[in-house]
Amino acid sequence: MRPVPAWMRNAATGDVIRSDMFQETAALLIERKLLPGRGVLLTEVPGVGTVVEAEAVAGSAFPHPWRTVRTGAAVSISPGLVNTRLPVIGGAPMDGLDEEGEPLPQGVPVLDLGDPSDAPYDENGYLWVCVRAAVDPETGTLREEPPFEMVLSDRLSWLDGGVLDIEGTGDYPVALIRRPRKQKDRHGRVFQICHFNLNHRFARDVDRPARHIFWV
Amino acid sequence: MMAAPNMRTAAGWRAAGDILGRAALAPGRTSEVTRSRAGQKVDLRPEAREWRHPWSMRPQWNGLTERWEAVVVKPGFVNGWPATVPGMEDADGETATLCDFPAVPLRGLRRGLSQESGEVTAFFTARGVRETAEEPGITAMGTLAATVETLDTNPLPPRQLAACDFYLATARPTFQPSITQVDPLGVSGLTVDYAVIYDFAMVDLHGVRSRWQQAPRFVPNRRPTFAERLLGIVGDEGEDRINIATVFLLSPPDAPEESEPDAEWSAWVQYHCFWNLRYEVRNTAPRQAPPPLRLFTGLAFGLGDAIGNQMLSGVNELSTQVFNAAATTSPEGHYVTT
Repeated sequence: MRPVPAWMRNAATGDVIRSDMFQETAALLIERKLLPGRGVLLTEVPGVGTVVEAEAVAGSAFPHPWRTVRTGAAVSISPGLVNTRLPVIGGAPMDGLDEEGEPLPQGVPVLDLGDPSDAPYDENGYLWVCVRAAVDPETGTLREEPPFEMVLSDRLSWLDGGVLDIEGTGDYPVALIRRPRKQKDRHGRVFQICHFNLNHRFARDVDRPARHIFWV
Repeated sequence: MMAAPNMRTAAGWRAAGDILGRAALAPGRTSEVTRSRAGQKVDLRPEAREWRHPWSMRPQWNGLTERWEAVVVKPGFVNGWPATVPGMEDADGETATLCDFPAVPLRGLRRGLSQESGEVTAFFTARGVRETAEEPGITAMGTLAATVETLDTNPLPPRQLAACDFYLATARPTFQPSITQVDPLGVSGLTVDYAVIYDFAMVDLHGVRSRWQQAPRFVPNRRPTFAERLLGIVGDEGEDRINIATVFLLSPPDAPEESEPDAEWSAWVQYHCFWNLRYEVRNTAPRQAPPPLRLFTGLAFGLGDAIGNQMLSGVNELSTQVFNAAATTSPEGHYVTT
């Protein structure tokens, strides 16, 4: 990072500010712009400054797949694979890179919890961060694109080791966000559930409902 | 927050230079700063905190209640749900889960640990623990108190060792076979009706979520044999268990043999499971009870069938039916890591 130039620190009345000095000042401003890393939320408040929030969760030293961090209402998830394929978040690859490996203009996508009072926690204060598999209910094959997506879900139904199929989708939990039942004015704490990449298979039997089988 | 500098004056430019100089971020103890042309990125330092696996426990001495207790500092999950802790309540008065970090008292510690059982390892003998050469309780009962004298070669002052286990238990339906013999003494053959009745008593009592339990010694599930399963001789326990961790309490040197653990003891945890789990039951109860299976053994209590080769295929088919019936009426489950 370039230091503040001497002409600026020692500016005196009568000095001429040339266009290259303005450009240098602009470059200094850009260099000092704050950018949030994973798990860091920056909130710019006019007249106050920038508030830095960071959640130092246990697990930082183990960069496993699906590592979930909540900062404010934003839930960021480390990339994980299902059937060697990368899920999407809101239509964008969850690693924030395009097909050529370049960063997406919008950055790494996150899940937005929204306002705490409107967030989809269940009656017990549970909300799961899930990888959702989508299949064609008729054929049982994975949908074309995207077959796997990260979602927030308040449903978790199991049958014989698989998650129940609901209209061609099955949600497998990778993390839990839990808040006390009565504290509906804030978001909950994140607990990690899944630490490894996953495999998925759609199971249909004659005598029982369809299931999505996930395994490591 | 100071006002924006007036850039029409030299003082304003100097103030701007001061602001820009202070805007350079410096990393703290748990953060790191990456600089690029785009700006300064603030990140958490990866090694900011030690990673702990699910079910990580911290035994601690509670000075108020004067007892040892254990807190799971990294809650474990089964099927995406945190294990419940029966007997403990959360802030809302409901049954606590491991996400509430309840301190579970260590009740009913087992003593008399032996090397043969694998519990008194070199880790503990190097700290002065002696193995117990006799089963505890025999002397107390006054019968055949065969004390085995062994040569004590450990130069360290003796220390006592106590332990208990933490395990998970998950309730599930059980089944009770209903066997009805039709014409049991008829020489023309023996007909058996084999029906299955499912019982949800344990599920109704405990729910389907896994429970965090503590006991002096973990008792694994008893797996009934095929014949027992078919005939319903042994009652199903209605739950599956898995041992998660053993907490050892180590006394200070020269502590009396039966002394109770206090603040001077130290705790060690041996883990048997390091990851979250998924629980699968082998067969769930069908939504509609299946029709009873009727078995006809043939002539002379089945003896005639074995003699008659032409009936052999029928006997094989019968066996297959029996095996299938037992396989689909065995609801014991198992745990797999996720």
